[in-house]
Amino acid sequence: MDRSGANHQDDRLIGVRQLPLTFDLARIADVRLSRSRAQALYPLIPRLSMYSETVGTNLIRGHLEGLLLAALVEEPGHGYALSQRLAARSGGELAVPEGSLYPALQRLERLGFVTSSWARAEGRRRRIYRLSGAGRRQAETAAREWKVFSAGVDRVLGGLL
Amino acid sequence: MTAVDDFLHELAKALHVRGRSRRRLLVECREHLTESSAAFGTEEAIRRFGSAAELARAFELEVAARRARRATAVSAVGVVGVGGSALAMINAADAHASAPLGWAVVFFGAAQVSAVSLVLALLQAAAMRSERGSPADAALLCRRNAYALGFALLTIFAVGAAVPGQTAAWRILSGPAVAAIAVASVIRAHTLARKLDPHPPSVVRPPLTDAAALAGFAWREHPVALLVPTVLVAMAAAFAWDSLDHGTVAQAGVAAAVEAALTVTAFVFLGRALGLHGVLGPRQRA
Repeated sequence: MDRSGANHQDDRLIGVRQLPLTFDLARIADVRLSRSRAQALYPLIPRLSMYSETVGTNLIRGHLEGLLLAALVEEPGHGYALSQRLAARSGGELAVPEGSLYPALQRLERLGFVTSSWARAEGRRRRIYRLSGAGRRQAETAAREWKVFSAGVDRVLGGLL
Repeated sequence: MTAVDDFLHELAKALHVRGRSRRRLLVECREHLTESSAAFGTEEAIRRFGSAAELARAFELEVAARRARRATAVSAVGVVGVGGSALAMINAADAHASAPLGWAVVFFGAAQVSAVSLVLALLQAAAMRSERGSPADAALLCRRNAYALGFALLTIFAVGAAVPGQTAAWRILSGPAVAAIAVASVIRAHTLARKLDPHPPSVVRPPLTDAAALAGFAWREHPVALLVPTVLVAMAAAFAWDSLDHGTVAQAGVAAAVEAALTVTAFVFLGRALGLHGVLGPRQRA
């Protein structure tokens, strides 16, 4: 923060190379966006991330199941809805390949943390996932563990910034 | 054919799994990509979805672990069924028949190896429930099940060869019939595991490590630390069994010594295949 109170970290310039070229926004592909502007444009711009996509994917992989449980806490949802919830809540920072949600959801189902059933809506057949009681408790456990873990990492890495 | 169809075709080609779980995945992916294409365009939707090959592999790892665990449950029923058939044959044997020593040793040895393999498989299956399975682990679990079933069938064969007698065919055949279903289940799970990793590294999973993981703490045992107490317990059990069977101290001592020799022999010759000890493969060393 500077004297005017502006948060420079929030306005840090972020690369636009990840902009989808099929978008209309591809017209501005050579423009660099501020984070606040990028977030305002979200969800039109997916995966505008502070880190590279590869790093992001690797970081998320170990936490994907906890994130999915958290995304199901409020209400049930199908795979696509869950991917959109994760993207919206993270401000576009979670660059997880959306296809990887399905093996993770099947694993959560095997562990008894979620249940699923087919539903038909708007002429589409969707598999709806719901959190079980055990899943709710697991989501709380994952949140507690993440808090401890992230605080530890922040104490080590945060000092470098 | 649209780009989504092309992607799904690629995914279908990458999948080795057939049946309901495959159909479910493909339907879910199609719905996802259709909605995502409507929102972001087809090209972007496919890019965001990730690689078909990676998705197929992650999905099949999950299926392989599930199949191996299911095969363990069926194998347990199969081994118990074969045990029941063997007991039915023993009970139906002629009262004055005495088994030749060789078949008696085969019977007791095979029964113990079968039981131990099944216990190892059950412990591993329970521990794998919360793990991210690897093809090598799934292959080991299948191998333990195969040994449990194979030696169970050897047990009933030894009974049939050793003691003459007559009983209803269904009593003799029901156990092996369930075992045959279990063998099919094990082969199916093992085939998928081998497709995911044709040359899996040697996996060592001592039972106490799995038991400790189930109890919620970390424990890494050394193979010798497993062998010594196992041999002592086996000797004590054999000595007690023979003593209760009106054997003299000397006879019970011989039984304990034979038991110890069988346990060590089984550990040396079958231990590696059962994941109790082993030399690390080049991939593990790397």
